[in-house]
Parts: sequence; C-alpha cells; structure tokens
Amino acid sequence: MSLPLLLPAALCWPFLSMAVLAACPQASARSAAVGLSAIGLGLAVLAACAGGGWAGTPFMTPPGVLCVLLPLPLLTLCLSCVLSPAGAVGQRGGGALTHGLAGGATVATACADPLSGAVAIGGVAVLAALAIATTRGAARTGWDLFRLDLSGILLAVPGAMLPIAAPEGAGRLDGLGGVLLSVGLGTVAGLGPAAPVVLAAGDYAMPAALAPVMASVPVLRHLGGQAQWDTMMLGIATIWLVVLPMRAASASRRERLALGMLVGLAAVAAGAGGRAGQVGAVALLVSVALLGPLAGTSASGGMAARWLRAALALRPPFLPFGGLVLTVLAVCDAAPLLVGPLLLGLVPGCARTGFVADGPGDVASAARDRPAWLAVALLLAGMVVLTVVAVTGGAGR
Amino acid sequence: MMLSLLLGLLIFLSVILSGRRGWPLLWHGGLVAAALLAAAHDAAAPLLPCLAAVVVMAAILPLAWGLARLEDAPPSAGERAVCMGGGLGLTVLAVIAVPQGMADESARLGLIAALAVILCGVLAAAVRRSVVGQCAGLACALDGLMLLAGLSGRGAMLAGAVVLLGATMLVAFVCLRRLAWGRVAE
Repeated sequence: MSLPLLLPAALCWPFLSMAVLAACPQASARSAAVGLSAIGLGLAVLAACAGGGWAGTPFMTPPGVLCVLLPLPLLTLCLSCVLSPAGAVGQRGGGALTHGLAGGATVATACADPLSGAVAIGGVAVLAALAIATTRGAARTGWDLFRLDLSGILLAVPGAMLPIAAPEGAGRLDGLGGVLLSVGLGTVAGLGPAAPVVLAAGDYAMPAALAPVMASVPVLRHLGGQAQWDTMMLGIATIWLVVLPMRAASASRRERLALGMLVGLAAVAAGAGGRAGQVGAVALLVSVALLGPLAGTSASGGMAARWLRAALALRPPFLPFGGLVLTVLAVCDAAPLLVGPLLLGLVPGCARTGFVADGPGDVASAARDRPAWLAVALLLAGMVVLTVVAVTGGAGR
Repeated sequence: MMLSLLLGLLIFLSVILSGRRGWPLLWHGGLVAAALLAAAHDAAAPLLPCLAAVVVMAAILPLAWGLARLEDAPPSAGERAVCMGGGLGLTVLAVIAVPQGMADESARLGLIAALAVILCGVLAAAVRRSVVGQCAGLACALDGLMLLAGLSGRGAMLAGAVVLLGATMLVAFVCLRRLAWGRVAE
C-alpha cells in the first residue's frame, strides 16, 4: 500500500468495520470487533506517522504534535472492544454504533478547516444522541442531549463560516465567529454548562458513555492553537461544575466526573495555546482516551485499578500529571490571573478522586486486569516521552 | 427589494414570536422558503437556493403537523420575556457584528437575518420548558441554517443541514411522542 492511501484507508476503515459488524453473527461479534478495531488503530497510527492529506478532500493529518490526536478515537474504541463482556445482549448493534462514532470522530479530527470539522462533529454528536434517544426509558435524557448537541452545532457552523463569508470584515465578525465556534463546539464536547447533561448521558449504553471522549478529541483539535479566553473559561467552568458534585457521588460516578475534569483541563490547555499548551492538551487527551473506557469500572480492588485512580487524580508519575504541569505553564504564560481559579477547582477534585475505599476484587475486574495494566504502562510510557521531549526543549514555549 | 422585505419580516417574526405558544412554524418556514426563492431569482446560480427552499418546506410541513398533535404547555411570562428580550438583544448583536463595509448590502442583510433566526431559535430551544416549544425552536434555527447555506451557496453546508433536519425529525418522532403524548407510555 502506498503512503497516500493510508489516510483514506484509516478514515474509511471504521465505517467498513461498522458494516461488517452489523452483518456479523452474534456469537463472533466480540472477536470481530476487537480484530477490526485493532486493524483500524494500526492504520490510523501509520497514517499519523506518515502525515500528508487526502487529495481533493478537506482531510489532512493534523500538523505538528496534534497528529497524535488522529488515532485516539480508535484507541478508545479498541480498548472498549477488549473490555466489553463476551455474549452481551445488543453487543452487535452497540458495537457497530461505537465503530461509527469512532469513525466520525476520526474524520472530524482529520478535517483541516473548522467548518468541515464542525459539520463532522455534528454527525458524531447527533449519532450519540440518537443512540440514547432510541434506548427504552431514556427519552427525556436522549431529547435533552440531542437538543444540547444540535444547539451547539447550530452555533458552531455559522461561527466557522463567518470569517470565510466576509474576510474583509475581520475584527468584529471574526470575534463573533470565534465565540460562536468555541461555545458551540464546547457544548457538543460537554464543556461549561453542558457538562452535567453530557456526563449524565454517559450513564447509559456503551456508545453513549464513550461519546464525550470521542467528541472532545476533534473539538479540542479545532479549538486549540492560539490563546483563546473563551475556551479557557469554558474549561475552568467545566472543572468547577464536575468537581462540585464529586463529594456526594458514588465511586464509579466520581471516576466519570474525574474524566470530565481531565477534559476540562485539556480545554484550558488548548485555549492557553502555545507549544506548552498544545503538548499539554495532547497529553491530557491521550490520557482521556486511555482512561475513558476504564473509568467507572475500576472501583473494585487490584493494583492496576488503584494506579488508574491515581492517574485520574492527576498524581505523578503518570501522563495526566505531565499534562497538568504543562497546562499550568501555558496558563501562566497566556493568562496568569486564571491560575488561581484553575487550581482552586483542581485541588478538591484531585483529592476527591483519589479518595476511594478499596473493595474486594470480582470476576469481572479480573477480566479487566490486562487492559488496565496496558493502560497503566502506556500512561507511564507517555510520561517518559513527555519528559524526554521537555528536556530536549520540544515542549518549551 | 422583495428579498430585503422578506428578510426584514423574517427577523421580526423570529424575535416577536420566539416566546409564543407553539411557534407558527408554517409561517416561519414559508417566509424562509420565500426568501430563498427571491434570492434564487436574483442569483447567478439559482439551484442551491431553490433546493434549500424545497427542503425547508418538505421538512417543516410534516414537523408542524406532528407537533400540532402533541400537548404543548403555554410559555410562562418569564419565558416570553427572556425569549423576546434575548432575541432582540442577539439581533442587535448580529447587526453590530456584521460590518457595513461588505461588498453587497443584501448579502449583509441575509447574513444578519440568518444569524438572528439561528440565535433566536437556539435561545427558544434553551429557554422553553415545553418540549414542543423546544423542538419548534430547533426547527426554526435549522431554517436559519438552511437560509445561510442557500444564500451563501455552500452545497456541503446544505447537505449537513439536511442531515440535521432529518435527524431532528427522527428524534422528534422517537422521543417527543413519548414525552408529550399522554397516550403513549415511555
């Protein structure tokens, strides 16, 4: 296969595997999903390494360090396929939908311009909302999520179009477009006031539970780059909104909220901009992609589960801690006044995430042990890479 | 001249009626379709605006028919005040934000109208407590997106708006009849 075909193959593969899974017999659905998602992940990693674009389309490998974001939705998909129990009811339909979600998120990440990115993210968001809306007994939650996502897309698409529509009228029009884009895409990714609705929807089936992770990767890819106050404020508001209900939440719910805290921190890093902000946002999104399928399932015993909770609580020596350090550096550079509110939200959040009473391990946790160890190893390896990059000067300003 | 009149009427209708019961969807959709057809009459490439007008009517007619069959709680005085006051504020913001130095004055008015319609619709969808009012607000905002796509001649955006309209109709069919139609159990 020549290199120019790698990106088209990586972008099309999840949709092909979605079709294959839909036609696959129930008995072999899990093994087929694991194999297909692993191939898709491999293709996406190769495409990210090779770089370049798809001629005649708006798809291109993200530039610089952001290219790491391309395979992240497929990494989450692969982990979730490995973790899903064999023979579960509705596994074929849910698995096919999750492949579609991951494919949509990868396509949205590969979009070079914010307008096509916003349209693609809209597809992902609507698909996730549809998954909940069609779940029995979840009409209200599904409708609320759909309303929220559609409102976000309806703000983001004109926001992305405004600077193109009147390039000579920069200034005010650009400003309005930027605010609409940030608020709209932030709403879709569950940032700011949308955080409680999106996190509540995550309590439902697997495709919906992974939707915040899948949506946040392309959204922060398009919002990152330059210093943007609105994105930083959305991130800080998200951290506050998810930390406040942590005290009364159960252990699994607290882990989901901690995941929302990581997404909020990644938004702060993306909004702070600069090299440190970009690298910090990438490090946090890699952590979110690795921890997303495992969050909420690691409350029961085991050394790996304990280490995963430490990573979620932003403790060293794991990758999220590196992301936190880089984010604080970037915020100190872009908007020093925001460091106070940021740390004021993070400190109780980290303390509450870390405090979980250990319960006895169960059979299901034993089945999850290998992927959990893999995630821990990847988080440690990511921290080593981040340290090497920082020492050699790559993550400097 | 006709296009300017229709766009002005559309802005007025979006602001004034966003807090009213049920939203006169047919009037709103009809005005958007008429504005798109008027723009197609003046445009060099009339295909996209005509297509957008047809899609708007094809989506709004069944949606208005379906929403009329559901229970709709009337908006409270607070909801009405927030919708109309907020809509007026957002329209003024759109007028301020779109600069006067744009090449074509009708293009400026079209951009302002589309922004005002979208923002008023999203505001109504956020403020209204009745799911029928929320769905009507979203449908009006989608009308605004179709107007923007038709006036700017962007096929990809039009395709995206059509997909979003289809998804709205599907979700409305699945969810709203459970939430607002007492005879169907959730």
